Amino acid sequence: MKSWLTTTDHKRIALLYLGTMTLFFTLGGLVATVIRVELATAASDLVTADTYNRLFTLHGVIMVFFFLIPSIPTFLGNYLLPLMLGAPDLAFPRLNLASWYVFVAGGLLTLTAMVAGGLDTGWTFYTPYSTTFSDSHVILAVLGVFLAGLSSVFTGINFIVTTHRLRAPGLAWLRLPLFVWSLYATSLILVLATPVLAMTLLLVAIERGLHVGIFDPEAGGSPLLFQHFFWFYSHPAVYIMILPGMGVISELVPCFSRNRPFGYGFVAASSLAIAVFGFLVWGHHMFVAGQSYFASVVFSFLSFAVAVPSGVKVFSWLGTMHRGSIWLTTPMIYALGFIALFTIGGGTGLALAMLAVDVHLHDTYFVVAHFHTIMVGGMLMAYLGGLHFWWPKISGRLYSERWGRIAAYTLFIGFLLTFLPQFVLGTQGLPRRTASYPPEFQFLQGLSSAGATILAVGYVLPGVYLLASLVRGRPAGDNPWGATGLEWCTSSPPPPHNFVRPPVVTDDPYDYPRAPQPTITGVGDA
Amino acid sequence: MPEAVREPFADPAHQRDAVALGMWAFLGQEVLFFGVLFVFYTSLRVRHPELFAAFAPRLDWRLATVMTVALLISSFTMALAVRFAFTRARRSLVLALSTTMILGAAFLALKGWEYAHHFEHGETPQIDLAGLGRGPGLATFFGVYFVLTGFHALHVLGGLGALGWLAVAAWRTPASDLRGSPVMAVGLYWHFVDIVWLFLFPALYLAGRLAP
Ligand code: HEM
Ligand SMILES: [Cu+2]
Repeated sequence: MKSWLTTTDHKRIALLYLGTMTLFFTLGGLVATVIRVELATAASDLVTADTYNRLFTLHGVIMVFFFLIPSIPTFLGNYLLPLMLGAPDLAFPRLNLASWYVFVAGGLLTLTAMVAGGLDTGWTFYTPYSTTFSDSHVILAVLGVFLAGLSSVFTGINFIVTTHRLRAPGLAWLRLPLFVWSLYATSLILVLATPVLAMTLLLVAIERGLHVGIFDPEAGGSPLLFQHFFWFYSHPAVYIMILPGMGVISELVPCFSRNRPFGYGFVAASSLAIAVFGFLVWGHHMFVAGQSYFASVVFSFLSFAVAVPSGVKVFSWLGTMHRGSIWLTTPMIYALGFIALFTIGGGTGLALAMLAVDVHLHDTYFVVAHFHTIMVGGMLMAYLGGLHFWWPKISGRLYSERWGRIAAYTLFIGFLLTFLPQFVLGTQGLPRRTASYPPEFQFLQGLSSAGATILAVGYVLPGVYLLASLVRGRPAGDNPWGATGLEWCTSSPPPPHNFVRPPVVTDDPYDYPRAPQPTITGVGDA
Repeated sequence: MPEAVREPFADPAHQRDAVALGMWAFLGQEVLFFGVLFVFYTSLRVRHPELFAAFAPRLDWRLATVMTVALLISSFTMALAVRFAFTRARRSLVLALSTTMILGAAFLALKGWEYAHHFEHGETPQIDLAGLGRGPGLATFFGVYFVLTGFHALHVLGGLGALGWLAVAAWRTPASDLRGSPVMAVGLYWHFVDIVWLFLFPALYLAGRLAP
């Protein structure tokens, strides 16, 4: 126990993060369940409207700041980055451990706020409600989120320095795995966007606690300024959430198509392009908030521009599968699910980025469906896909492929049933964040709640068979999937310093036609 | 049993390189962190220039000039400290670090004295919660003043802590074992904090003085 709490081994810290984030995800999921039960009927009969506000805020804060943002970077990234680079560890192992402690402290603060009576501002903390009118625990909660942000910054700095300074001999930039490129782009956003949120939240706490009129219009402050600050962070933050997922998919698709990635250079560059463009579109959250018409037009245009590099990635995945020989394993099912749902989510994002359309759709269920399609449909699929792909490496064991597939399909169906109706609800004008709604929306809301039940089953299943694999799974061997990449050249799980002999890279990545044969047997159509 | 810290670097030069890059990345985030404050300042200044004309003259620019000079000299002694660390001149290193600390502490002491003075004269950032229609005024200006200088002062305080830690470490370490990279990293940080002050000084103390 103590050796875990004082470890500086990136692999162990990754697992500490996995455990912590699984707890947060479970908590956020339980709250979502209560929300969906409440919404199954039109009246607000299970909880009061006031409690409902606290529930969706808790759900949003936990899921965004304590699960989605850290998820892939701190777990898979932490575990795999040094392995993929052929390094013994991250550049600053102690900083890495510190980031976990800061993260846990932030989580505890936030949970304290929730237990002490909750928070009802929504995950967006809009002023002046959060600074003046809300009677919930704003200060505790923003300090918790501040700490979570600090831990993100530590992780980002660590990843940037590691990628620059600890690549194995011969591992030139254009030989880096695409997952590393996406982590690098994510780290840039983590380091350059998070401080804006951090300072903004501190200002909210200062205004609320010390009555300094920073955002208060009465005292000469500006509530719109808060929204600019918040979205200046939070739009890039959506790319913090999705970029690592895209990186995972860029690993899965070549491996299970047994083909080189189509347009490697473009995919690598598109990660950086997304990181840069992502900083320039925050105003599309403020079309109806009173920003100037000119600003809205520019932000709308730039939002369309940011879709281009995302499109590049989708075409690359399709092009890689084209003429490849597709091997439909559990991770690949998740990858296909990701591609489908990310495309829907991105496309509806463009719909929202159109000025006239957004006036109608803003703050409706359409927005809820848009971002859940990307965050749950996209990012969570990528997270689970990555988890299943690297699980044999991390645990040294094979899980039940049959149950893996069942869970993946369950999740996909559950997802569609839960969130497609919400698109329709939104176009019909149902506002988000209300506990009760007019009875004519009953059917679609009921459908959505039914879908959520299926989703819940889909999330519990991997928990069961992955844990079971630790006890009774067959040994995985070094490279069960026959994948390329340095992480597959060492044992499963890797030894403390990752490699017995420091690797030297002599070839380009993804040499799939010549890759080792899969050693996994009895799995599907291999 | 706690396992020993594993530093993944082969040689000191490699490590120094990585520490420098890490510090620069950290300073990048600091720029954005203070960037929020400067945007807050600009937004207020653009919308309410009259507040700056009316209340900035209440700040003592002579005192602030003394504080600026103290910080500038401290940057110089910090630069010396980095040099002494790499040449392993242990006594000079401790001396340079302590001088830097004394100057930084002097800055903070003056700042604290100034704060106390403002509070005595009712120049506080608190807005009157009860009074509706109270409008922008003295508290608005002192709000931006205290928030900006307050965050800067906290950074100076953090720097003092790091310097103290370096000085003690240098005192205890035999000259042959001195490592330059921590001193270099703290040095970068210290210069950054000085530069922030170089922006705060004119932005707050000299604002509105040229207004007709
Ligand atoms: C093609 C890229 C995208 C575009 C053009 C886009 C566009 C938009 C627009 C215009 C809105 C504001 C809608 C409104 O409030 O009226 C929005 C909301 C949102 N989007 Fe996206 N989006 C894109 C990708 C993403 C991604 C990748 C994610 C997450 C991983 C995401 C997460 C969100 C969230 C969380 C909100 C709602 C925030 C809130 O009000 O609570 N979006 N998006
Ligand atoms: Cu956005």
